[in-house]
Amino acid sequence: MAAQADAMVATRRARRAGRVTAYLLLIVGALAFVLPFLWMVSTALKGDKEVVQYPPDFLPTSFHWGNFVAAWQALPFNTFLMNSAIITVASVIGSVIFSTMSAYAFARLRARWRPAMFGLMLATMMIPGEVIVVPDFILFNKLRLVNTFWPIILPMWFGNAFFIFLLRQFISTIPPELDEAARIDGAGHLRILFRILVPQMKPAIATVTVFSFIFSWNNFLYPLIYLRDQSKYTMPLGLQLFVSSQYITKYNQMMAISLLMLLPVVILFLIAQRAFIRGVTLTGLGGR
Amino acid sequence: MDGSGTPAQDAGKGRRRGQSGNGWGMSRRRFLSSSAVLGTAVAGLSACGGTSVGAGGTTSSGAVQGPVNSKLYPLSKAEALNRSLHWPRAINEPSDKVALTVAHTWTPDFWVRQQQFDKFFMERHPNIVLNAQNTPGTDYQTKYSVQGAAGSLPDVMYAQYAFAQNFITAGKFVALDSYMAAQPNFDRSDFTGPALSFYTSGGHTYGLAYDCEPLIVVYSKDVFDKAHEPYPAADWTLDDMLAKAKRLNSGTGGNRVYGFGSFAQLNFPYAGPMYLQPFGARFLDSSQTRCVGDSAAGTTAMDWWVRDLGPYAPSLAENQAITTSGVSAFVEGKAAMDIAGTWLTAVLQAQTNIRFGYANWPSGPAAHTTAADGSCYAVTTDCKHRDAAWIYLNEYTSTAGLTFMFSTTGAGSPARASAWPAYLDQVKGVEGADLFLKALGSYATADGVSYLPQGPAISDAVTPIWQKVWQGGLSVPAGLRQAQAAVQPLAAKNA
Repeated sequence: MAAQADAMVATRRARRAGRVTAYLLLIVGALAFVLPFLWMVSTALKGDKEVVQYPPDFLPTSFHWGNFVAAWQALPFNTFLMNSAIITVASVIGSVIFSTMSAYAFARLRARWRPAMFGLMLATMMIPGEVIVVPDFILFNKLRLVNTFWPIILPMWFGNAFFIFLLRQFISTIPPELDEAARIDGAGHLRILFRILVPQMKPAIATVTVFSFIFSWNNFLYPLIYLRDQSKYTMPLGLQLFVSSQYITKYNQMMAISLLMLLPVVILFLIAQRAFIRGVTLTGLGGR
Repeated sequence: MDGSGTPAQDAGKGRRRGQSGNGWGMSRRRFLSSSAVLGTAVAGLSACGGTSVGAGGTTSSGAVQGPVNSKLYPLSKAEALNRSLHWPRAINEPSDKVALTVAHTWTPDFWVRQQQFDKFFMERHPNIVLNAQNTPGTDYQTKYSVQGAAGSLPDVMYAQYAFAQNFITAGKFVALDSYMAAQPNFDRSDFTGPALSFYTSGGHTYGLAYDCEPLIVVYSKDVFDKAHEPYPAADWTLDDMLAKAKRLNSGTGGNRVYGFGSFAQLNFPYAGPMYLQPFGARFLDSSQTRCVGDSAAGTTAMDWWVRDLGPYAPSLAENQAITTSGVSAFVEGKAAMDIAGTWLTAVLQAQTNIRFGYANWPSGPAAHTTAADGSCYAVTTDCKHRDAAWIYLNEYTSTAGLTFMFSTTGAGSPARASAWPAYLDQVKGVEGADLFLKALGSYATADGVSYLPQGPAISDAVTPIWQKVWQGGLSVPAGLRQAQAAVQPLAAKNA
């Protein structure tokens, strides 16, 4: 009995020690992730002469909340925000709809060249985006779409190979008997897709939505190349205007705007946390 | 399935009776309310702000895109300055309205000044409508290289010395000689010494410089005064600088103050005139098609910088730690002296409390040279209204234009000597600010600066080799030998 009690105490101690160790590791890991963010907040609140001071102080000597206002007003960020919102919403809606339709075609429609076309589509994932920037620009220039949002939105509508692959694999897990049952009842392809399959695909669609939102919101290269009028710039492009290769870079204002830019992504994460985590599990990716 | 419809209809409903979620991990009500919050936040932020002072000004010819008034650059003062300046006479003024696109790369603060210039320009030239584009400096070359490849460059564009020749050799810039010859009172000699060198090819000039600066020495009066060290003399030598660096170097670890803030990096485009030519050596020959760094004089030169001065400058690891914040050791108050251009003045005044002054780049045993650099504006071959583009370019880089844009704002060293008095007036409290102009008129040179198209590739090739030298893993002679071997095939492509 005594030995049993001792064993129980020892087990309890070991579990506690294990828990303490786990919590310590988690705290250290969390700090490592949170510290850069906290440094951004700290820099955003510093005065001009404190930003480059060495050794650096974590806490500002006085809190310059006005940096947020000054940064927001230094450029038309309200316009940039609206532009980013328009591009992101249009890109996400188009990406989800057309990727879903493409994935259905690859998963369910029979065609002689389907495997080859699927392979070709997957092969496009190997092509770095920078390689096709110039041919893309020539194409959109000839279509007279430069300095509009279309060159930024349309590539998302024409399907992202990764999203199509993800959705196609998900559809493959849905029993085709459901389609057949719907077909017996007279449903066509679109009705089968949107009434039968899409309700089953919500986790995958949520994943595609979240990732395409993050990609579109943070997209910098295509807005840089295609947009000429500052009134059409997006948030990432506007933020980069603070970085000067010639004169003074106002790091405090830059950090202030960066924090404001993070807000929609943070809010989205809080709203769609479960979908996000499920997406990471589904895709095996993190932070992409 | 609730049995009320067909299996497909029931499956299409997507949820079983009693299930509160809908497969998304949240209720429909929560999803809608969260979306409403997000949308309201976006709309609210979009409705806030706008630019801090005033909307864009409207002229009879057109409207500028951005603000023309700010606390830093009040419109009333800009108007008074504009009226006081003598603008060059325009040739071939367009009789019908033409639109010009002009590409710049300015910070948000300075963009206001640009908009003011454009506003007054359009008032002087009612038939020229300007569409100004502002691109982040670090991404400028990427954007316009893509547009250049597609034949869609703006009419007039900024180009830095480091990549102007890329556009020139690709045939993207218009030769300006005929325009300069036709322009009444165009004074080419008013451009400071090396200013136009970077934009010349085959005897033709393809860009007009708007700024040109030499690289000289900045010193911290705080560090010098603390050590009771006399400030640098006007005619000091490299050995004088070494002696001062030794005496001013102090502390260890986080308290270290370096005698000199920069380690001599052979991969810098300026390495030739700054590090080698004072010793009678060179890295690239004058045509930049041959690398000649591996020589006895080259070894003597780089030995001096690495072995003699190197211990008083940051090591590679220290430099990487310091520059992760995006600024140099000197700006952080951790160096007695460093390399400087005129751009540093505004940074030190706005972001530090350092008391500083400027000194000449010291003379070497064989010569007194330092590097110059700068930027220009050019008319592109995609421009359909070249006469109008010349009017803009000429006014922008005239004495009046440079005074308006750069001298009176203290933004940088204007490319014309006649615009310097206004600039020196802005920085009159800064000791040695006039040394920049004197250097441009004497020992500052573009000869030896690596600015031809292979420049970046040359720098990339030398960087890993010279980092080994910096870390002590490779001797100077071996480093020079390897650098020359790596650079020679690249330099040959400059031909």
